[in-house]
Amino acid sequence: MAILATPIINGGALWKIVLASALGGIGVVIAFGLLVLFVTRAEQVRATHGGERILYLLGSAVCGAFCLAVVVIGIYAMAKKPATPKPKATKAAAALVAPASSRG
Amino acid sequence: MSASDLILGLVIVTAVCFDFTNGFHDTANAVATAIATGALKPRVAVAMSAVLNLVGAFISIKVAATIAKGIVNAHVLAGTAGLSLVFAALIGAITWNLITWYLTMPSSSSHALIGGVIGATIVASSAHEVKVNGLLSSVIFPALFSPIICGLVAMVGTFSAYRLIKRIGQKQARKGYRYGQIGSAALVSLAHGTNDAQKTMGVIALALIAHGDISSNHFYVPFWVKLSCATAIALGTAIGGWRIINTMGNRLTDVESPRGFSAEAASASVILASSYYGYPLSTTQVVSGGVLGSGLGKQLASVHWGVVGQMATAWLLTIPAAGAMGAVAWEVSRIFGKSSAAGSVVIGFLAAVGASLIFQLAQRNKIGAKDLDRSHVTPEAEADAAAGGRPGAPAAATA
Repeated sequence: MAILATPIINGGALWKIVLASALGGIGVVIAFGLLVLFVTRAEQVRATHGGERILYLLGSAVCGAFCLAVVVIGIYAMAKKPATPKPKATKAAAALVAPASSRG
Repeated sequence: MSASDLILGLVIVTAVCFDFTNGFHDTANAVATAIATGALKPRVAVAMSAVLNLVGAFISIKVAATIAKGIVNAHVLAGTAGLSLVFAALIGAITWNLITWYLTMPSSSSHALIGGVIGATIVASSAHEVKVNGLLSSVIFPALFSPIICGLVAMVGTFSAYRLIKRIGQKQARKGYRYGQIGSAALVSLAHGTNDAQKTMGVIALALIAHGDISSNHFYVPFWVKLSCATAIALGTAIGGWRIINTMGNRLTDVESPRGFSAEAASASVILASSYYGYPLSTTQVVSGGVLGSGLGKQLASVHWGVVGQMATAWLLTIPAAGAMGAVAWEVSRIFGKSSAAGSVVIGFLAAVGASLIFQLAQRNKIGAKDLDRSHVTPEAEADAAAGGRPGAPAAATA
């Protein structure tokens, strides 16, 4: 019954995980694909359409920046992830550290 | 030297050994798809992953003491008996890791450790000492939802990638995605180092608290613990768990560079997002979900369901099997007395003999870096073969 009384999964956090994963996982794949597409097109029009080439290069820069931003945010999240609670001072000290007489 | 000191030494050495097995067992998580598509040479891939695992272990100093904090009641781990219990749990986890490595099955090292703790706790105290709520919220539910989320994300990502490829052109797209795979593999390696090395640091820190070397009022992880764990996981990764890399990269589904990139991008996103929101999860299960999802994203038939079934069985068995091994280890050590070091020395010796036997057996059907090297397959060849058979499929693919 204790299992039912306590929330096991935080639905709000789970939903955010799904959204963040979708944005990162799908967004990066699409952005990277577009980057390759724009770079390829820019190469194709290199000699003939100078203005068009700049647009393609700008597009690829935006896509590259998006991918880079996702990676940077990911590393930041990794470094700043919520700390797991420290062992409680009163309980843990008593619980984990055995009396000297019981050791050895 | 007291019995407690000796057992603490054994726990630390065994925990570092566990971190080492974790490294070579989980190398596949980060680099299997990059090797399978030929984006990286096998040895280059594992070297890169090893360095990033080392760096990753130092990125976060917030110790994930998940193993003991949320799974069993803290007083179970008190004193010399608690140290013996942690030791038995580590022996159970390492043994299961080596068995699944021999069977070429990706399985969760974290779940093996949790299973070992649970098994040893049940026989040492009682099942009531296991926190069911903690087990469900920290282990079971994340194990269920994380591979599913990752699989769905990878599936949609792969579908989108192949839509784009039609516009880009096969050759250019595959070349581009190969470069992308290097970045995504690097990110997964970094995430793995942070997540998994921290767990072992937490175990050693708890052992030091139980021994009285660290006060829980001023809880911290000594630098030598961080350095030992980071080095062990990096060395383990550098050894290269070729057997599991083969399963993950070649036997689950036919990985092409867009699929590999999608799988890794999805895996990195799910691992990082879940870590940020405080859900500990198994990187192995997430990456496996990503690889499967990427296979489903192009065509359902490309997933090798027989291998998936074997892998799912290994997942289901991990906690109970590692638990049973932890329980046996505890029972054997208890023959020599609950707080005696002799029992721990004996199970440590038996585990070393068992590990040696498994390594000997694995030499019979050895899989090495050369067997998996597909870097000679050009993007053009990959594109040509995309509609037909596999280009330059490695001999080990069906091993």
